Amino acid sequence: MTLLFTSKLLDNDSFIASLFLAPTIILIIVLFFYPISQTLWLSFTKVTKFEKNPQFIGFDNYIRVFSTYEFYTIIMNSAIWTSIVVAFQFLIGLFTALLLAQDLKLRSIARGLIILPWAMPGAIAGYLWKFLLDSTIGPFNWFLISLGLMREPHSWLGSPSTALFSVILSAIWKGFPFSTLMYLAAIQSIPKELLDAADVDGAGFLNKLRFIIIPYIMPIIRITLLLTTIWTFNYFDLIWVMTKGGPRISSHIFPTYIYQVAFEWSEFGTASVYAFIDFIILCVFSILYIVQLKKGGIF
Amino acid sequence: MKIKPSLKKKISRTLLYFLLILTTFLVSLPILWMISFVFKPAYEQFKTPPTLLIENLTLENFEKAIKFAALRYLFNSFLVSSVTTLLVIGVSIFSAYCFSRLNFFGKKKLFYMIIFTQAFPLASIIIPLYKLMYSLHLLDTYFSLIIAYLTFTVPTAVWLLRGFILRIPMDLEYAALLDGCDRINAFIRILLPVIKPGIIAAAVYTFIITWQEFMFALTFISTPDLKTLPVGILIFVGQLGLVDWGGLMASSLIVCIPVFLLFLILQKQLVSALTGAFKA
Repeated sequence: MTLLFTSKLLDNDSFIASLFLAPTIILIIVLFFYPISQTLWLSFTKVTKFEKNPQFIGFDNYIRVFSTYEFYTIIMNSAIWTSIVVAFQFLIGLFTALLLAQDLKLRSIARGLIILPWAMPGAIAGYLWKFLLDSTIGPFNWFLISLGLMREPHSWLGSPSTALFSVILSAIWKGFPFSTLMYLAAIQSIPKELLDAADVDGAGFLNKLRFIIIPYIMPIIRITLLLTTIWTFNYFDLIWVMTKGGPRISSHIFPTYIYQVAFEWSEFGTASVYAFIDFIILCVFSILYIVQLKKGGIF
Repeated sequence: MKIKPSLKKKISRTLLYFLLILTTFLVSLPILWMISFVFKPAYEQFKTPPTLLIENLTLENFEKAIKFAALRYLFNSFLVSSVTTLLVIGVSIFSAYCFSRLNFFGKKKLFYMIIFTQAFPLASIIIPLYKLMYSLHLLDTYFSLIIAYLTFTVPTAVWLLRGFILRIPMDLEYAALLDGCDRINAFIRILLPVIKPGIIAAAVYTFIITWQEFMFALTFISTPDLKTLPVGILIFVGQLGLVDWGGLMASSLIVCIPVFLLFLILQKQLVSALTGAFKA
């Protein structure tokens, strides 16, 4: 009797699902929903790293944060950082994908080498670029000087006017291969007849790109753009290792600033304001991303 | 004058090869530079103009890296990444099965939640997680990292594995069910062996992203002996910003080697796991 009962239960989708999904759902509740609700609560309190009892102060933290120039700088930096990194990762990703999709002999070796920056840990890419851009030992300055573009070495990470662009350059290099892989897979799935037909019609490369390739891979382009936007906006390690957001706050974006305010200045309340705003902005991107996935028929 | 089509084709192919080699060279140049740098003795490293060529090959930078940083941190990183990977696969394979093979109440909404958490800004929850680890007395232990790493690895692994299962036809499982096998047995005995390549790809992906994690490792661990590699090698950056570049670059290369190897060996599986998850 019991045997019959259990075997019936095991044929019931909902029963198996509740059994199999329980660990994941518990994880998500404990490690995402509980913490983000805590972030919201802490943002309304006066609390430091060492204080046990947060004291409710209403919107005081928000009012204070909105009246600082740091807040607007962080917003600006995040916008500049994200849009330039994403735009260039798209362009370089598409270019390299088109190149690797050609029937060339060395392409599998080339693909392996081109992907490597993406496999490199973010912090390591940060150390590496800090080295390359270093004004005494790094080759970057010397290249520009020998090309006649500069007269003397410049401290790229040390001056507020170039720090953000230096970390942007490194992040483009580090992250573009993901776009390459996505676009390459999409291009390779274009039916051959479509491209052959265009050849018969005598279409040039640019026309093929514009009228066949781009429209065909458009859903993947949209998804990849949103995904790289989300990842870039969330970036921490590369910037932290290269500049710690400095000099002053010239290369800070949300995650680095949240970390500094929380764990170097111990101001948990203020940091939680930034953290919650960060979360709200990401929610917008995430919703767009989910909508695109749905449109693309991915689920 | 008209150019012959065959000549035109030859020119365009030469141009393509040129572009391919140039692009590959430019993209790999930073890594090549790092490799050449760490095999140079100190006096050569500071020579101007800097060059890729090595005059006197030396291993002194690696000796320094291994002596001061690599071994201990290598062990920590391996331990944390492997335990996390095992846990993640164990948890997510069952969830992936639910999202690809079962029909149940709230399936769509739960899956939105998984995708949503995949894109979650970890910086926005790091303060409460820190407080949580503190109150559980887990700060400065491997557990704090392993638990924190589950946040961003489980949703991604579920997503990747679901993509793999969806690409397997259901025929085999149906046949097993007709033979009187129950659902769970059909899953474990029939489906699991078939998706082994997918499991390996998801495991390697999890390993790679936990291997390079930096923010939690920086926040939760303060005892030098417990640090993982990406944070541990900061030992070569002095308090006043003076950097031992030879040691730092050599240990950086050591951090990269396992990931690069995994990536190059399993390139095909990883790429198909990633891109496959986005197929309709």
